[in-house]
Amino acid sequence: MKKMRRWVKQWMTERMELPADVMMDLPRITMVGHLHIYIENHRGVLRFSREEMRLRLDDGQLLIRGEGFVIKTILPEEILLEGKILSVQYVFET
Amino acid sequence: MKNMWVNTFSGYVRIKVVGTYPELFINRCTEKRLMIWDIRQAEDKSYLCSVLLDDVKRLRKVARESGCKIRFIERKGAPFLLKKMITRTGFVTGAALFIAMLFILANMVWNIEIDGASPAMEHEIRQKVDELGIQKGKLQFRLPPPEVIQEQISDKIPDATWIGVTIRGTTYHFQVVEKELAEKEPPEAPGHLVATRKAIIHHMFVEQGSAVVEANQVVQKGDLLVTGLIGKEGKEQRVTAKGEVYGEVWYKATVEVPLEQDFQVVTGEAHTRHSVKIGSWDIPLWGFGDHEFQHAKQEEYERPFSPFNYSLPISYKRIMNRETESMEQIYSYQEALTVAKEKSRAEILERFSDKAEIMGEKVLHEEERNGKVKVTIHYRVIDNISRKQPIIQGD
Repeated sequence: MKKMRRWVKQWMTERMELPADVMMDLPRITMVGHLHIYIENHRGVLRFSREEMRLRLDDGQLLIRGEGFVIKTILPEEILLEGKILSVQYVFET
Repeated sequence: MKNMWVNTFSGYVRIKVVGTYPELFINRCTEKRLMIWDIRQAEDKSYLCSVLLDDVKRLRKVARESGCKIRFIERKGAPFLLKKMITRTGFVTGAALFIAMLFILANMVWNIEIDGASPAMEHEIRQKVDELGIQKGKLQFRLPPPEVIQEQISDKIPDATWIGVTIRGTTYHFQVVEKELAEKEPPEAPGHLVATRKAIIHHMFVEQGSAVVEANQVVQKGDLLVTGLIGKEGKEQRVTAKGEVYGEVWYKATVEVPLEQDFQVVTGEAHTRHSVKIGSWDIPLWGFGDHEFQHAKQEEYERPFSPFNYSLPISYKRIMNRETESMEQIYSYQEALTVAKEKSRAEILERFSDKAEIMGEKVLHEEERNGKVKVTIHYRVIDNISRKQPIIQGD
């Protein structure tokens, strides 16, 4: 049933050209150079250190690596991270 | 996102969170809607972060739930500053005293200026002002308002026509207008009236003295018109001859007017450049680049910067380039003639006094040569031709 719903949503976003982040609760990531990264629709912090941050998402994890990380703001569904961002990686849970 | 700067008003604390899994503390805080920001890793299993002062009470519960220990590191913001100020009474009273002193000194009378009065009058006013209680060192708000002072001082000094009282900062300023008795004009030396130029007498108006000329009489320059010696021959009295003698003067003027004339007309387009000038240095402020006008008229405006009457080598400069267009005006022969007449009329009237009148004009000669119209006009002008000449003693 859950798979069915997801399939319907995906079909709708593809066919009706609706924004994917709204329809499917996907994270929306905004980066300003390597200085800032702003993530909406996250599901909590799994790991945070100076060099690494792992965020929980609906269907996996977001792994951000870099140097000198500082969480500037954190709200239930938004997070603003500052520092030198080297990589942003999507990790799918299998 | 909220501006974090606002939080300095309500106050916030820097805390250190230590635990086996401190990420849980961050997640719990966001779930419970606790404002938490500026999170950074301190050591391996501890974070430094900022929390609003209002949320500190709820912090303990969150910490217990997430199995973390909290240590307070720093207190920041207005509430803590206020607390500190209360403990340092000396500092606060010093600041308050300073403000109070400033206020009192700014409201004191520091100077009394009196303008427009003679020394004697000034002394009198100074005394009366002193009696009214306006003295150096008095507080302004304890003195009556300037309108009342003006009334009182005007009553006390009847010799002054008007005394204006204004407060300029810490100075009371008295502007005095003294009563002046009209002085008699000094008696003028006795004299004649003589002609300033060759003319035909048109009409005259003699106030004092006796006329020696008649209307329609031709006089040469320097001829006696009105004599200052009156009375019987041998027993003459010397008086100042006064009056106006109008004579008809002939005047010939030659004027040239070109048939084609170039005009510079401003189109209204302008390019302005503002700059600050320090010494001979020009620092542009606004309006860069050159203007793109083919013909332009440049206007320069410079204003020195002088605070408190000190002149500094700094000045503000504005250069305005107005676009101009050259226009050509072509006159016909007849038009050029009228223009020439107008021009020579204006020139003539400038040569004579304000009372001069042009009685008649006659074109003597006109010709067109080299694209120019040359006109010679004869004018008959009526003007005052009298001039005073003192009677030399022993004449």
